[in-house]
Amino acid sequence: MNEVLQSVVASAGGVTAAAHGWILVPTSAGLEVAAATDAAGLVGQVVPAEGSTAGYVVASGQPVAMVPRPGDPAASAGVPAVLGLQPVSVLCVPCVHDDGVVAVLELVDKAGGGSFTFDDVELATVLAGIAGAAVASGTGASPVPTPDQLAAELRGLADADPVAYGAVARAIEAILSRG
Amino acid sequence: MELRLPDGVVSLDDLTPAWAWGGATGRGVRVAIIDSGIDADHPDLEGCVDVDGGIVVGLEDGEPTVSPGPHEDLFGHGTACAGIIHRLAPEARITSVRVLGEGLQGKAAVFLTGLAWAVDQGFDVINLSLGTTRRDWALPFYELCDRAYFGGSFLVTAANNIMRPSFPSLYASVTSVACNLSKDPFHFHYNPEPPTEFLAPGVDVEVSWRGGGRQVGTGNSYAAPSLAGVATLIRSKHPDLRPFQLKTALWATASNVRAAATPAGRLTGALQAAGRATVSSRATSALHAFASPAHHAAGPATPAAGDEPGL
Repeated sequence: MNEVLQSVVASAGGVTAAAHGWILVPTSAGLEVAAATDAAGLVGQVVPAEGSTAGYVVASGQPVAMVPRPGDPAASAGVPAVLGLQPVSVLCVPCVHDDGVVAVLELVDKAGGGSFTFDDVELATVLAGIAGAAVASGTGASPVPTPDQLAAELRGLADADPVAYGAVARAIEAILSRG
Repeated sequence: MELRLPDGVVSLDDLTPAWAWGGATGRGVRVAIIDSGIDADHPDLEGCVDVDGGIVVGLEDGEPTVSPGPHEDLFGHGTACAGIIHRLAPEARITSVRVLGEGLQGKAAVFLTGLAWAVDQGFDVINLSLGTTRRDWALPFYELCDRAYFGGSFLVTAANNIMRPSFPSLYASVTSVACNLSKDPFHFHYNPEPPTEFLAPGVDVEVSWRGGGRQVGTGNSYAAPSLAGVATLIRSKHPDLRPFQLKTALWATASNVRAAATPAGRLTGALQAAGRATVSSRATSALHAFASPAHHAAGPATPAAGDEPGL
């Protein structure tokens, strides 16, 4: 299992209060589940891209945040169909690396039944960027730093070069402080 | 050729909402939506779609192909954009340019071909709630957008939601739009920190979706057609405006510009007074370091107290 991707999807689920989440990597056969909050039995499965929210995000490169109408086939296509879910809310953002979409991060069913906010889109997008780099570099199995280690490293970078790293460090610390 | 100001305009003070779009319905304006297709039978669209005039762009052996004629929406996003524009400009004719193929696999070449077709057809307004991050396609898109600009087509693009350069939303020849928090499509804002130049409603927007229903969506994808709808109204009332004049009319009628202490017609200090005091972009301040300043995306801006409502 890819530990970086697993950490990203767990963090994304936490900060956006999503009940479920997964990262899908496009392959010639469809979209392969690379990590998931409900990982048991799901990782490695391949779902069709056609007609699904994740497929649209892969193709368009645009994030989608929506409250689908009941019965909307696009919202329940893909992984939700595998899990037997009919999501009440959906947030799906591209994991971009260099010039392309290398994966998507999809989150469903925000706690409380509301819709995902623009803040959720931004938070998920930040984490999706990490996932994109991990997918592209194939370094997901390398040792994963703890949140404290990550924050300390970023603080060090920010002290050394506040212009380049100050905002990133503050943003990541804000995310980590939200649990 | 005689050069003159648009009818009724003596100074920029005259570029009011009433002048710009008062009484306009979109009649006579042709709008192209480059997206996932349009569900032309959706009741919200009331027959505004030129079903036979649309195209599907695909790929065969790596080469883009163009297939004219009726087609469906493969996802729902194009229908959403069409519905937003139709709500604002009910008499405009909307044409679908589908660039997302079976399996929803989009390619930059397909996207470019679809946009080139729309430009060559001379559409008055072209909505692009899509983009590509492929830098190797930046120059072809740049040239094509310039061709559209000089040809008179008004291109409206969604600003990239993610902190990466996206084409063609970065170009001066297009109008790039991000979200504000307003629910009123006529309550749009000018952003003095380009490349995102305008902010329009895009948060929790009720949108038409394929299959005849509606749902609620959030994103710059929905802000772009909102501003495109207003641009369609202006184009309908003032068909001779060039793209830069249309963009100027949008600037002058933006809520924060109209509310500025310095009237739009007096250029000295107007830009700073109009924009910087009222537009805040949390995304750009919090996440600025993820991209160069010139390439940032813009998150939703909160309309300042005292902004005037639209018409």
